[in-house]
Amino acid sequence: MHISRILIENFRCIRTLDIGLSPTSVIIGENNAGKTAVLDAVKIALSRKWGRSGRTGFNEYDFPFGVTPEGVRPEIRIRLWFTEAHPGEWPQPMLDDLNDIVRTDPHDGTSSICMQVTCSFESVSKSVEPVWQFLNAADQPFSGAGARNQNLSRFFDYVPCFSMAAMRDAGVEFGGKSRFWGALLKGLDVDQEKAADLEERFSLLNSELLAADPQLEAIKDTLKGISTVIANGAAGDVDVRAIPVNLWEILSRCEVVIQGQANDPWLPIGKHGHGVQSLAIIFLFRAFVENALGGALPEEAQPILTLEEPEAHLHPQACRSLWISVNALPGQKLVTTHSPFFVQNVPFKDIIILRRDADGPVASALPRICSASVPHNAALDTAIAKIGAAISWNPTSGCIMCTETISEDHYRELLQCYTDADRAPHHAEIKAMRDQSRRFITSEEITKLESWAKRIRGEIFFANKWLLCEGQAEYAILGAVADKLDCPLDAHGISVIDYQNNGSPGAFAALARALEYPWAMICDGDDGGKDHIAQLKSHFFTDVEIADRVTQLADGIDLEKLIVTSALRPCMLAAARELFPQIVDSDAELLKFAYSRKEEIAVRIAAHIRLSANAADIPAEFRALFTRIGACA
Amino acid sequence: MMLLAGPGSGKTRVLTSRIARLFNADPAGKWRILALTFTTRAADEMRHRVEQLVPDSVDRMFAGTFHSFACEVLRQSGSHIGVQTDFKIYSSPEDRLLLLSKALERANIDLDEPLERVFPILDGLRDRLASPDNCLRFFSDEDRGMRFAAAYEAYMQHLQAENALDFPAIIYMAYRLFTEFPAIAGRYRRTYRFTSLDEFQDTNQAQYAFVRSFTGDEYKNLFIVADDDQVIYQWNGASPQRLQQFVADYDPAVLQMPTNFRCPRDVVMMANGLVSHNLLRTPGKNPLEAGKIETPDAETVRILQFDSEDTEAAGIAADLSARHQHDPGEVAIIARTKKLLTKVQGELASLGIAAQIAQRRDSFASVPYQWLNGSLQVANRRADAREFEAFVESGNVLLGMALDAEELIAIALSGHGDFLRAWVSEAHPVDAPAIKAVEILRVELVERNDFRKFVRNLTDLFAQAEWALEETQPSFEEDQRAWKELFSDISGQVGRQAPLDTFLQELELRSKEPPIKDGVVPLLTIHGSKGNEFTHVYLIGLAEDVLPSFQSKKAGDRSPQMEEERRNCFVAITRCMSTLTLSYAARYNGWPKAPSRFLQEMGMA
Repeated sequence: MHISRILIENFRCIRTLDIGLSPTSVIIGENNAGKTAVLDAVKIALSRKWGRSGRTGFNEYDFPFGVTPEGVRPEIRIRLWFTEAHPGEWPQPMLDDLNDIVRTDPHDGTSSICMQVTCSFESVSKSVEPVWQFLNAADQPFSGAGARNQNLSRFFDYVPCFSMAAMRDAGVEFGGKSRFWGALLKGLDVDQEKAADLEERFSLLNSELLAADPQLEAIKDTLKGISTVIANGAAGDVDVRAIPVNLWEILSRCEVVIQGQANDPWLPIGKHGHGVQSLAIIFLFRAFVENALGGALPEEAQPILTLEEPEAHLHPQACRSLWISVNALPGQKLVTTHSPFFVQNVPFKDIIILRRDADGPVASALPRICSASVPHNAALDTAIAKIGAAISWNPTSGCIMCTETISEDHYRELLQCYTDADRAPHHAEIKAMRDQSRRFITSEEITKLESWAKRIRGEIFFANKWLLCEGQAEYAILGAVADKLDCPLDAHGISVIDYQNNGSPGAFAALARALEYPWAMICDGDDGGKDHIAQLKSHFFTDVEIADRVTQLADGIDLEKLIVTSALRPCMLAAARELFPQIVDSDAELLKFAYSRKEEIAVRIAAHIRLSANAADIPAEFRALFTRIGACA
Repeated sequence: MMLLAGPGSGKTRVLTSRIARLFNADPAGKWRILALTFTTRAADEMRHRVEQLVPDSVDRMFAGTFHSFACEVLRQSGSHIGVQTDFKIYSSPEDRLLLLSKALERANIDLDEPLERVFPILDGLRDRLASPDNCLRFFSDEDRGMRFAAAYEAYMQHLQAENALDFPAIIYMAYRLFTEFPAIAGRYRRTYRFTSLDEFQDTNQAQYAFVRSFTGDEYKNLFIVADDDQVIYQWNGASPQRLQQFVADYDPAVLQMPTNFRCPRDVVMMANGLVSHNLLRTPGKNPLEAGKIETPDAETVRILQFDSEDTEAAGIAADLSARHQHDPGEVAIIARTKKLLTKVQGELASLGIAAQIAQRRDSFASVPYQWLNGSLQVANRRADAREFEAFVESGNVLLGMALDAEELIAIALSGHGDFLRAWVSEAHPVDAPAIKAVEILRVELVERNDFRKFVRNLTDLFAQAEWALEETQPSFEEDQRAWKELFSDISGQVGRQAPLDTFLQELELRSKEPPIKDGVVPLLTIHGSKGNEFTHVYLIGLAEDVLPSFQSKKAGDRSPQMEEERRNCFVAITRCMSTLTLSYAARYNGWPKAPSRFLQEMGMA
């Protein structure tokens, strides 16, 4: 089983965060966006070692400061939901074992478990008081058998949580006392007889080594003075050892040596670069997890792994292939990353974007489901049956559930299920669901985006804002314009997406809406531009939204015409002359030339804008674009 | 599988051995066994025996009554039908009356009938699993039916508002949960791979329907142990036909265990003679066979005759005193009704022989334990005014104070809302033990919420000589014994880690009567004697209109009621291991009565 949803309240920087999780979820966000807080919340919730004393995982600094005027620290609350995708997914022996805490959906028969951790801060004693509980189907703590403490350790056996931190030092991680390597070594089981035999041979080896130079014997005699001084009775002895004769001491010194290429020297792991060290620890982590699962845990156990920045110190190529290694780890993976290269191979549906707003971190992900809370009736059953699999009735929550965009026809059919005088609130619910459902991006479109956009999509997820433009010419010029307007793209985290090469404007705008990236778009005043705007409409952007977001150049105007008729004309002329010094200085000739060498000249125009243009020269259309996304006044 | 097992045939052993064998066959498995019994005592007994056989697997067995299993299911999944996980159980008649009158008041319903007479109807409807909107068919007078349906609805809604259930509601709601949501029943079926039912013949309609809703149509891993000759709960809805219904519903393999290893041969013959007069029996049922090896010529069965019930009581006491002076604890006196037993108890007391009438108690009899119980109830529900008033009252008596519940509630509501905290802040008794008691409550319940430690420390304090509760508080010693046993049995049932609300729910389900002390003669009604065995048994009052009862005679010689009386007699005589003494008097209540017809049917006349 894996965590299907997590709710975190009042934990560190988080006020309220409620996110759905996939079997592999990749969390991205700026520094301090709350990524580590999410992973730590999972770790703490799942790694309670039962008993009132000892460390609970929480400390004073996990509580938010100064939230209330009275200085009362609000209670931390973490809830983890584990839900079957379909009845029978979870093995019966596990259900039997966890019977006391399992909830059953009375309608679809799926099982689920919800674990809650709350923690309050006693300001007088400065102590933290965490409570672990399982919740019933109404999300209330169980009474009776479900409230017994032993449920917790039993449950943890099925979802062992292992974590790999961002900071990885191979010298430490491969030491005899480390969590992973040390634990693996300690797990080695050497037959007693064999151990005795080996220890005897080490001892012999020792004597042989020391006897190689008689000088050592003399030193030993001198050192014997020590034991005569410290001994009260019979004097002890002194020996010199070149190698430990105790088997565990030998084992704990085991080290990994790696040969990079066929003819390279064998080097201990600590002598390799950071990249190799980092990679080695990921594989070590995997070996450790697999070893742990083979131990005392039940065979149905599915680990929950949290990995912080697995890409640290890795070359882009290695980052890209890292996804395969991470995905191959057993169990559920929760990964944080700062690497566009790593994200490049992650399916869109598994990406969670964390952002900081005034009330702490908020999460965005592709929406998968929306609902309308309405009363059930027979007409509704008929309508739902007619509409098909995308819409269903969930009697448990009393909601219509919807997983695809609702067409106008279907929307009307749903509305007609409620015709009585009290229909207004039901119609409002259904309309809200319809509007929500319009945020869905179809799986075909996601597949297209994923394949077209491979080149850039890693980067765009790390941006704050998206600027959609038609092609590379616009791409080049907008960068220069941004500099001139004193809102450089990088400083503002603006990603310029030339949608023609990477997909379609409708798809990117829909993605921006779903993932809550502020966006703006510029397009030509020609048929192409009209077509692009039509695409936005087909993705259910309203005229108001389009007017608010999109700058369409005046009728018949395109990028080149805009420049040639603006104060930037000298930049264009200069750019053209670089390529063709004899060019005639007329609008018609310039345009003709610009159309023929579109991208080439655009890059040069951009350079000239940076070099010689003034902010006042920037056409109002460009300025409007940056104003729309809040990047400049 | 249906096992027809006569009295003394070792059925409990068969049940527990089977459970142990199933666990032994799959010691690493996680599936569970559901072992339903008719009394909490039988469940405790079964748990102890299974624990001895397979100590590592006993946690995989749920041994309990229908009610305790239904409670467990409701605690876990009741939210789907509006039962919260921490519901409270009201078992005492006074509590239920109060709930009903509040419910009717809230719904503005006037039934125009005394409330005590309403409960048998509401309970009967729920025993028949009739919902408020589908119960009119049980009333001949439609207007009255409408009134009762409304009252029923109001009562159930009030229970829900109070987050409470009474006994009939427990089975009724669990049945509703399983039938309205078969997926929930399915989930318990999968985990409880095997189910056994002890004393199946006593199952009433609601309990049987609950079992049916649990098993559905596919699940057949049911093992029932039954004896249709021991049906004595017909008045509660049990019926000899239930066995036939079971056969029709589950098509079980039928096994018989007619050999009786408990009773002397003569008693076995008498028992066979008796029940051969009953017609409503499982067809093809074998007569009992005596399996006990006994010393020849021992006088095993005697008949004593007396003039009146008074001389009978005195004579039985004298007989017992003469014959069993040294082993009074090996003897039990059984009668059809409690009235006869009270007389015997008096006569025995005058001869210096201690005896105790076994009887279910819904609440504790002494003030200290009423207060202990009240403390736990209030600790569990810290803003429950009704529980709090009872707690304050018993506390005033026990600790010598004069606190006013309403004032304390007002104090609590003006601040933290915690009644118990308000009580502690105002409770300032004078006597040293009382001060200590308040202190224990403050530390363990108000500050720490550690109810086990509270119970331990408080019962230790109760036992200290300086408080002298045993001398000053009537029934204290009885409650002390009762509490000790209850605490240990409930901990066995729900686990030592179980939270307070669960503990209290289980406490509500159980009788608070004290266990019988060594050397004390138990005085039992036939119903109370069921499932027990004694070396020597006296069965008194074997006269017409007593056993068989007046009502059964009125119903007719061939009536089901008369057959039930016969089974009562059957159950009573088969309790004995060595000797059986029967007695009757010529007059009861001043009226001449003939010797019981059962004497003749047993071949004793």
